[in-house]
Amino acid sequence: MTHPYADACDEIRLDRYLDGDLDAGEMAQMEAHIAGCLQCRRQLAALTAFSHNLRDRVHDAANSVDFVALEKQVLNKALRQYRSRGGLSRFIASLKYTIPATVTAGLMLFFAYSNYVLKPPPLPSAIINSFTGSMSSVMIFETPETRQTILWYTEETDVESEPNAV
Amino acid sequence: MHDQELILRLQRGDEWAFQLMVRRFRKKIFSIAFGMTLDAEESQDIMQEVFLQVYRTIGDFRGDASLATWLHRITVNRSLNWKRRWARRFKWLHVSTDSTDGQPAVEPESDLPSPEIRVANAQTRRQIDNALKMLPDQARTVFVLREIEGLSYEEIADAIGIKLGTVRSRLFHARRRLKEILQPLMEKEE
Repeated sequence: MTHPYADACDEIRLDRYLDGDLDAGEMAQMEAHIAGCLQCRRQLAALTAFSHNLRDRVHDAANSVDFVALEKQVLNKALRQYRSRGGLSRFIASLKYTIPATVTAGLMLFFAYSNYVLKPPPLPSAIINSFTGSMSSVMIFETPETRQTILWYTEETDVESEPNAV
Repeated sequence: MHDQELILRLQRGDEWAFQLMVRRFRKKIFSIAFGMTLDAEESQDIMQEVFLQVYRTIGDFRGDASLATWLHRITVNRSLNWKRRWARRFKWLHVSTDSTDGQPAVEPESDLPSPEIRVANAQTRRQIDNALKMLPDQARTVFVLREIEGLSYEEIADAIGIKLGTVRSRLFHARRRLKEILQPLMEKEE
């Protein structure tokens, strides 16, 4: 059986070979090609070495990091976020009750104020501009709101008692 | 604890579950961020940002993808955002002149005993860094997830939100570009 890749360089297949993305048959064919192809062997070696060195580079960098200290920093920051967010959410939650209560209280106050405090004074039952007739006494009552109620009346002379009074 | 239970506990605001998640994924997140940025300090910041974002938004997590996939996605986005910042981009594009004179400088922070090994190590690091920096963002993202985290094509597709064919295509282009970059080095070694 001849291998279709035995004498043809195929970069895409070489890529998939690197990633282990070939099935068993393709893998065998690719290995046969690589065994006889210096250029593919070089490329494969260069890419494999590069990946290996890259992983070492990252590994070294990670080893120089104090992850325990970083973990503490992250936890502290997260906790601060949680507290500030918790405080805010509690405030927002409290508004659910505070706002309706405030509105209700406000309406009640407005109602009470407009009905009791701002209640218009009672109008006089009658306004008398002039008077004719006999009037012997006038009484003036002053109300707390300085409104005046004036009463007048005529006292009939007691004819029988008059002489007695004199 | 399985991811499903971990997610439920996180959504309930369980502090211990959050700590467990950080411990479980911290190195993976750092590694991806480092592969993308090649900057250890920035990668630590990105790692913290990723976990805090997860903590803030875990309530919105619907479970369409796995927790790991979601974390990979956030990490990749954060790392790419970092690279997009103008000031940082300047830093990223800066290539040390030490690498052009053929006499690489010895890096004093290395704890390897032999100066020759330290020089070789530093040179290898520079070669890796320079080669990775020359890859376009999209190709490098796929390459880093594949080579550093060992994710499958499907996992990469889920993490970045692209099709399987696009993953293969980007990985292919990343490797082709790397081969071009590494070609002079291969010839030098012969």
